Amino acid sequence: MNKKRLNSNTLMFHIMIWIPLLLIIVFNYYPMVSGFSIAFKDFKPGLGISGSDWVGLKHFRRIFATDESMRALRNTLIIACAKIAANLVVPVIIALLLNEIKVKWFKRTVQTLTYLPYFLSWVILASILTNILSPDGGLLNRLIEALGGESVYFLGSNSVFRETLVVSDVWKNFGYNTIVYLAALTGIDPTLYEAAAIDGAGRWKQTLHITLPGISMFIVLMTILSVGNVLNAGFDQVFNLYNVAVYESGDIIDTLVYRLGIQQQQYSFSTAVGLFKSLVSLILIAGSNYAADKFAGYKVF
Amino acid sequence: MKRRFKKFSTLLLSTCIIFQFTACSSNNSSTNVSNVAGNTEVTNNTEDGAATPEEVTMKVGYAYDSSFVYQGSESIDDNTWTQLYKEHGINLQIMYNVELSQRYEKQAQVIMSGDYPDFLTVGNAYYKDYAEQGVFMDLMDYYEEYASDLTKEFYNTQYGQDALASAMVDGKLYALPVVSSGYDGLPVLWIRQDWLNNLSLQAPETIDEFYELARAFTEDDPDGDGVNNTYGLAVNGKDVFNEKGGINEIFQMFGVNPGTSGGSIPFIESDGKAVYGGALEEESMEALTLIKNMYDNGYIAKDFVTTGGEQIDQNLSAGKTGMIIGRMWIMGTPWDNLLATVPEAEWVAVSLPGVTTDDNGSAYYTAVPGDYYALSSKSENVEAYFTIINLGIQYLAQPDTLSQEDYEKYNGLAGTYTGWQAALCSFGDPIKNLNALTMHQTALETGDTSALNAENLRDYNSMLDYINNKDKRDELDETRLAQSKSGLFYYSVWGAEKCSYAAINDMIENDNLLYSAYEIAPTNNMVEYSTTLDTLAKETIIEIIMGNKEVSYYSEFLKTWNSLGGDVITGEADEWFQSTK
Repeated sequence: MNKKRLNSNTLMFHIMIWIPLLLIIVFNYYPMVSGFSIAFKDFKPGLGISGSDWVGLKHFRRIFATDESMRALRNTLIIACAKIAANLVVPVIIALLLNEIKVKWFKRTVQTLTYLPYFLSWVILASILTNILSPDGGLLNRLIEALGGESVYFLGSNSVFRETLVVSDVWKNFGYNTIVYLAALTGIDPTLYEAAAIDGAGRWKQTLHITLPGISMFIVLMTILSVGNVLNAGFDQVFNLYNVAVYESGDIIDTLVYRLGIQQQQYSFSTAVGLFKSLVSLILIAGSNYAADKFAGYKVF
Repeated sequence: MKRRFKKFSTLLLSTCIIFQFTACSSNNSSTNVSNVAGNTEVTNNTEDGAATPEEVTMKVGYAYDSSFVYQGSESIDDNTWTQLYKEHGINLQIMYNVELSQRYEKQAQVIMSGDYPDFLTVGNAYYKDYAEQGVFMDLMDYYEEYASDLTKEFYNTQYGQDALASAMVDGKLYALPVVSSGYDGLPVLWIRQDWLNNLSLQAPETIDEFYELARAFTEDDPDGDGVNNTYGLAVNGKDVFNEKGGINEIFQMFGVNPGTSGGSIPFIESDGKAVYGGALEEESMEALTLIKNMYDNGYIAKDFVTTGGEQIDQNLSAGKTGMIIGRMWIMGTPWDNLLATVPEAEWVAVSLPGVTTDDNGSAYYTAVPGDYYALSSKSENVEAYFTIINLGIQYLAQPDTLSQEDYEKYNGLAGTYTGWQAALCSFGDPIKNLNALTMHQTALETGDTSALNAENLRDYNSMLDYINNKDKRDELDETRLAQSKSGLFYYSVWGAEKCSYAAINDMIENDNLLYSAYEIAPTNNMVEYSTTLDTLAKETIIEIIMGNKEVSYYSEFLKTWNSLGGDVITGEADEWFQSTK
C-alpha cells in the first residue's frame, strides 16, 4: 500500500519537473549553442549563422580596443554598484523606521504609497521625469531656484546623470524592497527584545544587536542576488532616460549593445559584448557566493 | 478522495503546460492560396489589363509612421491599391506592419529568419550588403521583357539613369530605385511671420541678422503676452542630425554638413577632392561657435538635448519658438495645431542665410535614392513584381494622363482616399514639386486652373478649402477639417508668397547648393564605419555646444575621425568622385 502511493506520487513530481525542464533546455540552452557562434563570426543576416565567415576573436579584441566599450563597462560597474548599495541601505533603514511605528493606518498608508512607483514602467516614468527635471521650468529646478540655487540639468549633464539614475531607481524600487525586509523583521523572536529591555538596552542598542543580526541572512541573500545582476544596471531605465549628451557617464553595456546591435545592426560585435558581459557576471556571482560562504556562513548555490 | 484530486490536478496542470505551447502558432491567418504562376503561359500584364491574369500571392511587409491613418473607410487590407493589385491578379499577404522607426530592424530580422517578404523596400545603407548576400533576385534579364514602356521611359531620364547606376552591384541590377531630384530634401528657414510683424522686423539674410533675430524672439516678447516664455530657434538635440531642426542643417548656413538624418556620412567637394562634410575646420568651428553662443544666451531651449522630433512638434504647436531650420514639408501639422490657439499665426520660409548677403548658406543636395524596391531571390513571381512597379509608375508618376477621379483615387484625397501611401512603391516625377510651384502661384493669382494637371488641381482645391474657411474652422465637419488641414499643408509648401518651395526655388536659382560628392550606394567600409563615426560626430558636437569641451576640440575630433576609418572611406568617396569628372 505504501509503495504504491510513493510510486504514483513520485510519478506526478517527475512529470511536473521534467516538462518545464525540457522546455528550458529546448528554448534557453539549445539556442545558446548556435547564438554563441555569432560572436565568433562576421554575421550577415542574408547568409544566416552557418553561412557567415568565422573570424575568431576579432570582435573581442575590438571590445578592448574601442573607447566605447570600455567606457560602457566602467559606467555599468559604477552605476550598478551605486544602485546595489543604495537599494540595500535605504530599504533597510525605511524598514527599521517603519517597524517602530505603532499607528497601524499610518504604517499601511506609507507602505502602499511607497510601493506604487514600483508598478510604473520606465517608459512612463521617463516622460514624467523629463518634465519634472527639465532645466527650463521643471518642478525640481523651480524649487531649487526658489531656494536660491541655480538650476541643474539633471538629464543632460554628465556630472549629475549617474546620481539622477541611482536616486530615481531607488525611489522607484525601495517600496518593494522595504516590504521584504519588513517581513523579515517580523520573523525575529519578540522575546529577544524583552530580554534585552530587561538587560537595560535602549531602542538603538536593540536595533544594533538584535534586529540587524536577525535580518542579516536576508541582507546577504539579497546582496548576492543583486551582485549577480550587477552588470545589468537597468537597461530599461537608462535607455529611456539617456541621450547623446550623457553617453560619457550614462552609456552602459546593454544600451551600447542595443544601439550597435539592433539599431545599427552590428550583430556580431554586440553579441561578443553580451557574451563578455555574461562571463564577467558569472565570475562575480561565483565570487560573491564564495565570499558569502566564507564571511557569513551562507551559501546560495 | 484527496489523493485522487491531487493526481487529477497534477495531470491537468501538466497537460495545460504542454498545450500552451502548441497554441502558439504563426499569426499569418491570411487564407490566400497562391496559385503559383511559375510556368511559361502566363498572360502578359500590359497597361490595358489584358485577359484574366493568373492569381499570385506576394508576401509584403509594411512600415508606417505612428501618425499615419487610412482615410475614409479604407484599411490595410482594403483600399484602392489592394483593389488595383487584385484586378491585375496579385493578392497581398501581409507579413508584418511595424512603426516606421523599426522598419530596418524588422527587415533585418525577417531576412535572418529566412522567411522574408517577396517585395522589399530596402534602405540605401543596407541595399548593397543584402544584394551581395544573395537576398535579392537579379532583375537584369527580366527588365527588357516585363517592364512596361512607361517604366522604361521613366528610367531613361537623367535622374532615372543616375538612380539605376546606384542600384548596380557587381554589374547586376538587384532592385529598381526610387527616383528623386533631391530638391525635396533641401532645408529652409521657417519663421513666424506674425512675430516678425509684432516686432517690426525683417527675415534675416545674413547669419548676423539671424543671430539678432533669435535674440529678439527670445528677449523681446514677440507673442505679446507679457511673459518671457519664447525662444528663438528650435533645435533637435536628441537626434542631432535630423530633417526637423537638425543641427546639421544649421551647419549648412556655413557651407558644411557634418551628418545626415539617415546616418550615412556626407561628402562634399573641397579643392577638387571629395572630403567629409564636416572636414572644413574653419567653417565648422564658426558654426559651432554660433550655436554655442545661442545656447549660452538662451536663444535655444536649455533642454534641447532631450528634445526629439515629437517634442519639437509640440513646441511648435504651442507657439514657443519662432524659427526652425527644416525640410519643406514639416509645417503642416504644427501650424494646424497652432491655429487653434493663435488664429493669426503665420509661418513663412526663406532660404538659408549665409555669411554675407551674396554668400548665402548652402543647402546640402544629394539625389541618392533613399529606397530601393527589390524582389526576394526566393520568389518565383518576377512578373508580379514588375506589375507592381509598372502600376506604381503608371498611376503615381503620370498625373497628366489620369482623369481627376483616377488621380485622386490612387494618389490620395484627404478624408476619402489614402492614395500613394497605401501603395507598395512610391514614384513621382523628380521635379514635379518644383513645377508645381509655378503652377500654384499662377493659379492662385489669376484663378485660372486650366493649366493644372490632376495632382496640382487636387492640391489647389485643397488650398482654396483652407483659404476660404480660415475663419470658419469651428463650423467644419471632420472631412472638411481634414481637407482644410491638408490645404494648409499645401499652402505652406506652394501657396503662400513665402512658401517653402519658393525658398527652395530661390536657392536653386542662385545655386546656393552644397553638392554631395558621393552619389552612389555606400561601400562596405562606409556601412561598417559610419555608425561609429556618426555617433562620434554627434557626441562631439553636443559636448562643444553644451560647453563641456572647447570649440578648438573640433580639430582633435577630426583627427580621431580619420583614424577610426574616416580616411579609408574618404579615399573611397574621392575615388568615385574623380571618376565622374
